[in-house]
Amino acid sequence: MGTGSDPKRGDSVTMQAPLPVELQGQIGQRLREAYVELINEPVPDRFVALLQKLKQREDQGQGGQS
Amino acid sequence: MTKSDDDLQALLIKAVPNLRAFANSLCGDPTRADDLVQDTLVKAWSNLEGFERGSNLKAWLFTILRNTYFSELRKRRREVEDADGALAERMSVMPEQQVHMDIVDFKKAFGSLSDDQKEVLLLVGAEGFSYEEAAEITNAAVGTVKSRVNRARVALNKALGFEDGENFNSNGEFGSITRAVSRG
Repeated sequence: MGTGSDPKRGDSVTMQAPLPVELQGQIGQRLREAYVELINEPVPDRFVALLQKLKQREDQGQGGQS
Repeated sequence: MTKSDDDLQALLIKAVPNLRAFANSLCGDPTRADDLVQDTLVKAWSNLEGFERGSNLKAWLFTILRNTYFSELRKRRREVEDADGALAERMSVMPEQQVHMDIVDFKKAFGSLSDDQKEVLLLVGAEGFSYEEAAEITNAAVGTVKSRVNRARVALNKALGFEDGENFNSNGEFGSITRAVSRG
């Protein structure tokens, strides 16, 4: 494990060395799990309604053009 | 692509779950996140001429959302002088507790990252944008994005308690922690 030789103490926040690949994978997986959970939340109706309103306004504004 | 295009509506709606997830993760406040998404959709709609057909609509929407978020944040910081205090308050959602690698703690750890770090980690790590796309979205150099992602991972790892300031820097310790994490 090449990361074991960091000579400085207390400098971990600014440390540039990448995390070991295995750990990156773990973190990445947790991140995606948490994120997918959010993505899977049902979309509130307000967004569909908003887009319909925007489109209607556009259609009316442009007269006969559709 | 025109505004009266039904496809466009469908494409925008399709992007909403991702925009909400991104906004929510970024600001940590579901109500504000939905307001951000709404602002993003309205802005996208009224600036549709600025979108190049054939380019990445999702990346374009993400750009609008994060620009909206950060400009609001700057405005707030000007309004509320004690911005750091307010932010800290927002982030300390939960009391200190034992660190386990479960989702709740992960979210808490994630919440402790800086906005810059959250943003790149979400774009690259969660959304799967390339470093180049993330650089374009955040208006930063590719190298900057890469180093932000790297710092974010290190900070997240620390916040998750795999590094307590001692083990990480002591010779040999980190390897054993890593193995413990990845094997169970």
